Amino acid sequence: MAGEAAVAVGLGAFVEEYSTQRVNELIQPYRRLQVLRRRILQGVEEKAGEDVAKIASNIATAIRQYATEIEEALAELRRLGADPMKASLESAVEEYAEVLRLDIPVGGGKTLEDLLYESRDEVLDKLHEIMMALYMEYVEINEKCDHGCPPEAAQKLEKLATLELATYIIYKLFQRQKIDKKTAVTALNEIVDKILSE
Amino acid sequence: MIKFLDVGYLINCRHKIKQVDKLFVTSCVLKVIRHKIKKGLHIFLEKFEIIRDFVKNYYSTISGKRRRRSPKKIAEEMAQLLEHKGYADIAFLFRVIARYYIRGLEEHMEETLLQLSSKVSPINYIVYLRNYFKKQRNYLVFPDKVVDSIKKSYNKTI
Repeated sequence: MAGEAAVAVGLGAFVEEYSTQRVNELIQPYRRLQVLRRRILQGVEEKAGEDVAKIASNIATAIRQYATEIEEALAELRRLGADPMKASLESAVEEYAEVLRLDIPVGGGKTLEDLLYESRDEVLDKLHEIMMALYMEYVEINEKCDHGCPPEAAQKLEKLATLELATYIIYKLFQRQKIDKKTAVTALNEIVDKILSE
Repeated sequence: MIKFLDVGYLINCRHKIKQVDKLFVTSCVLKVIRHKIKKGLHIFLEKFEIIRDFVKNYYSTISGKRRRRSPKKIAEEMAQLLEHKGYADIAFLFRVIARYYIRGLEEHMEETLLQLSSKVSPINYIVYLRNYFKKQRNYLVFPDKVVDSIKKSYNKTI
């Protein structure tokens, strides 16, 4: 039994502790970025009211307001040897791929796929189009950014990131009944077109 | 002459241009196909919401993973469904997609949609195609890519 205990405690201990330490170091700046993102979203959402047309420009303004703090978190990540842009892009591709498998449970034994076939929900249809469009764009850009992002790809990523945040805010406004379905669908439709425009 | 019965249409160019030369007839047929693809693409994007509803109705009775198919199989089923619903122009587009390996589209699909799985949900496939053709550069080159693919497939058979 003692032998088994030693195996349970000791086997892989060094590699696990080493990698946990590394992950923990990286987690801190990512958490700071997450907090900043939430603050930006909250600020823009509160300001938005029913005026969805200004959301994208309000996001850009809010990002500029937090630029110093965002840059500090990015600098910390770079100091730890991470490439924040590449990491964000790869993680976005993975997460969209996961969601677009459509087998996420949505309750009542149904999956997202079931909901897409059965619900006849225009907002959900538009969100699905946006997710597919972002996934397609991110995959394409990810290939271009294999050895550092060329300027036009970086510029496009900036535009897509703003549109992705705008999607989230429109969805939240709709969920909280601050905008009606028709307004949400129109706004989301414009976002799909912008994502897919050259 | 290329036999286009495999895409569901017999385009009779022989009578129109009164030429027995096979090359002339082939060129006429390809021109007609290019035009039909352009038209099919236009209507597909214009009527997308209706087509998505057809897809939802058609596949909603099949549950879960049994719904998933290869993109070629979905394209084939879509062609049949759209023909039945009276959308012959879009049906032609799907019949061509089902029948030929169209460069550009196929590679892009493998890098994106098929990264998720080799069998896909029809709803994902239809939205993927819509987004692919919404991109201006794909929309513009697709009819030429189709003609190239048909030519290549024809050259292989002679």
